[in-house]
Amino acid sequence: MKFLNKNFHQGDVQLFAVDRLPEGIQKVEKQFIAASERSGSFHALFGNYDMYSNEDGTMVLDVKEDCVLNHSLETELRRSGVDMNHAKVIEKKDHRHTIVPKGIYFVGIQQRFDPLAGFRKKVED
Amino acid sequence: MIEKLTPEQEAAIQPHVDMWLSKVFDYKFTHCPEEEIVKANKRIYEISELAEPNVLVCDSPIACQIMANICKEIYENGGDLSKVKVSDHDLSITPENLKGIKESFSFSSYINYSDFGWLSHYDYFDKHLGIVDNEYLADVIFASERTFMSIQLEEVCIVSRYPEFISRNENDDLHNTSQEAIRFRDGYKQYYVNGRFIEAETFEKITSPQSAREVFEDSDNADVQAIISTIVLDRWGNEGLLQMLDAEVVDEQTIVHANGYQETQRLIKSKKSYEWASDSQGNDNVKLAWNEMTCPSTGTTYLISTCPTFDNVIDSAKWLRPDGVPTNVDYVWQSAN
Repeated sequence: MKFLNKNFHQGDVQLFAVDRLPEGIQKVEKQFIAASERSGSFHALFGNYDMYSNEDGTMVLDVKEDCVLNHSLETELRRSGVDMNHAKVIEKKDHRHTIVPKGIYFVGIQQRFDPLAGFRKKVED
Repeated sequence: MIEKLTPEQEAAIQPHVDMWLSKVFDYKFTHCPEEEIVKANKRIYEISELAEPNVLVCDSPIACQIMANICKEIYENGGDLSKVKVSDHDLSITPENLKGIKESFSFSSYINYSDFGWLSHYDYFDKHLGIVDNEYLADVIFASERTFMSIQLEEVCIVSRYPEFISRNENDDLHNTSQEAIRFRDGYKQYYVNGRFIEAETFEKITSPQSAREVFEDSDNADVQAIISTIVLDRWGNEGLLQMLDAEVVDEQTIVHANGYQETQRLIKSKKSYEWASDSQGNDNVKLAWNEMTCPSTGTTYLISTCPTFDNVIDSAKWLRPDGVPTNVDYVWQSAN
């Protein structure tokens, strides 16, 4: 899998364009890329794409056409009636929406180092 | 069917927007007569074909919750809610009164500040296009202008007045690094930094970079630490931030991203080493290190903890990317939000 140097981020969610789907991934139902139970916020991609999961929790997205990466609240999502199959912008919580063009993307969360544990820890939303 | 606005109709849009925004941000209705608020909300119940409630006007949403709990106690003891008066009760924001909030009542979805979005549209359609045919529009506008939030119950409607002070940043998010971002007539206030809520207890402890350090080190929440950093940076500048961390900048670089957006990241390290700290190679008694990054959407400055073995801020930023991203992938974003 070759990284193509076309990268996007929204908050701590980071997307990296790759040349093909890697091996060993599993297709999954569309779901939030990241979510916070505490604040009720989420990052999710809206539009025409397939989602795959890696064993380590990272994801791969096969984006068929321009999609919208939204950062919003679950209450706003319910209120708007928009579903994740449609490339629509919904009212943001903190971060502006990002247009993700057609392509295959490796997706993960920015990490932070825990000096108490000596290992990297994912940024908690 | 209207397919195009006339020049006069187009010219009327911005003044109309400004007029609606000033209702809240110029505090036009914060001190309006109580009788207007009572009349407005009774009319809403009437339109909805509900029995007329006892409308109780409070100065803040938290006072509404205190009042709602008082009403609940009165009701459960067989009292008559139609005779309840706000002036007969102490709704001051004291620890004792806040403890009295045993149940949190939901605020209504309609007839509040959040209706301004759609109401301003219909008001424009009505005033400038003449295409609205609804006899209740004026009543709903009148009530929403005078009701910040309300608890709408069968026999009582408990209404909060609008705030008397609101502070925002350039993105129109609630924001103030020196004082509360929103305050009501009874003194109830909340603190926000770039749209993020911060507990009063935390905010009020930050009186110097040194006191901020205690609060910062006590928190293991990245958002709270980001807020503290932003406050310190705003009040005391970079010098203050480095004082708070007792740290120094070891590397600073400006990155120009593919869409032209520029960001400056700094690699900051504490001057001293800490016994309890270790690096990614398992060595103990090391310094603390952070990448200082500013979110392009919110303007919030984050200090992302990183391994102190780095001396180059870009190398560190790359290392903080998800596992699996090779280091030869450039640290350049097509779009950053």
